[in-house]
Amino acid sequence: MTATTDGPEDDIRAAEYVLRLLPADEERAFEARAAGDPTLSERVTYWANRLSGLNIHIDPVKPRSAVRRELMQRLFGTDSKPSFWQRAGLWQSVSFASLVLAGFLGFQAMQPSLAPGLVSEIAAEDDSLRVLAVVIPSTHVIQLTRTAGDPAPGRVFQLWGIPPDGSAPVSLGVLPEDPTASVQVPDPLLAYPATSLTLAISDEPTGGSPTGAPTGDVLALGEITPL
Amino acid sequence: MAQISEIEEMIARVALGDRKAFSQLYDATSAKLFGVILRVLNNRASAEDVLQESYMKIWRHADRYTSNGLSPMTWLITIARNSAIDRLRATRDSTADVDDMADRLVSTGPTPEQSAIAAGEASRITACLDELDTDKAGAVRGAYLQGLTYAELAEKFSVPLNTMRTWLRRSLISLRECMER
Repeated sequence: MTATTDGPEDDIRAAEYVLRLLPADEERAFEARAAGDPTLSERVTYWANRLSGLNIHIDPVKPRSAVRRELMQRLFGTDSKPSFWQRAGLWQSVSFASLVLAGFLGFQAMQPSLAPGLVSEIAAEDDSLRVLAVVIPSTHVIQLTRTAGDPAPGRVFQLWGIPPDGSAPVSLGVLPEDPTASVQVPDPLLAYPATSLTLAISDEPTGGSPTGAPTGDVLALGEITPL
Repeated sequence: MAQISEIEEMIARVALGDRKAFSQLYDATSAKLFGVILRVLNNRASAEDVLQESYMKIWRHADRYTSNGLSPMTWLITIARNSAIDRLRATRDSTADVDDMADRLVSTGPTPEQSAIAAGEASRITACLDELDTDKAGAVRGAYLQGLTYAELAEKFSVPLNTMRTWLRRSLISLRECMER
């Protein structure tokens, strides 16, 4: 329960919010308050979880199969093959010219003697985190340059390779504080064509994920494309 | 229906952009979500559209699921239910903004341990509602399942608006006491 004097009143307010009983303007005011008040948002979670018990009385109704088809069409376009992963709305926001230029410059600075390979811009939707990756196929090395974003205090960024076939993400290691780093592509990922992989960065405790799988939020994603 | 842990796993994969997991999640949960939406909208064509809209939000925001403290089905149902209520209110009052409630609701309140207790405790609400007067329990159900407002509930149960407000708030206090016993 809350410790403040507003506690009981706020708690019922949270229930009314979850029930959608508040008028639109009060809903918005409540949300603004809850966003900055963990105790209040905890009450929202409490009520949402408890009231959801009412859903056991709702019978499932199978939607027409056309609904599923249209949904996949709306999300992924005509190509329904699930062989290539793409986060809707993410890639479109990246300027291809800036990507290629940054990739080439970053690459030149780090590895002037090797031929260009593949690039990936691992970016958050809001660009709060951007890491440029240059993949050198001959050596299976990925050169990384972080151009935006720092981990939260006591947290680290961990890089993952996601296979196209639904296999579990494979860790490529924890990114160092230094904005540049290079990592070796681990064997399990070498079984896939590089351009079929998705690179992802997750928020993890110091030392990296304790479980071997991403445990924190996935902050940024990027596909690998030829330079 | 898939197990809770399986649904959680699917959502985690969807968060990483896994389309196959998204298809599996749809197959495992869409009938339940469609039932929830139909209960609010009572119109098949709108309900189908809102179902698609809900899964588009699920695809986009799956990465927020891990930190929101809701059980996986509650999270999915919250998105579907709020989308349906938004549609209902937007259709009824075309001047109202279509508010993206689901997105914001589910991004608040990180309390991981809550999702664990939720599954076991959720069914308790039915027993607690049974302790209320029939009309008062009906009002809580009408608000949750059909998205009715205070004014609509007052009309449905033929009581003045302020009486309905008092009923509901007292019912919620009783429910909380019952659920925490």
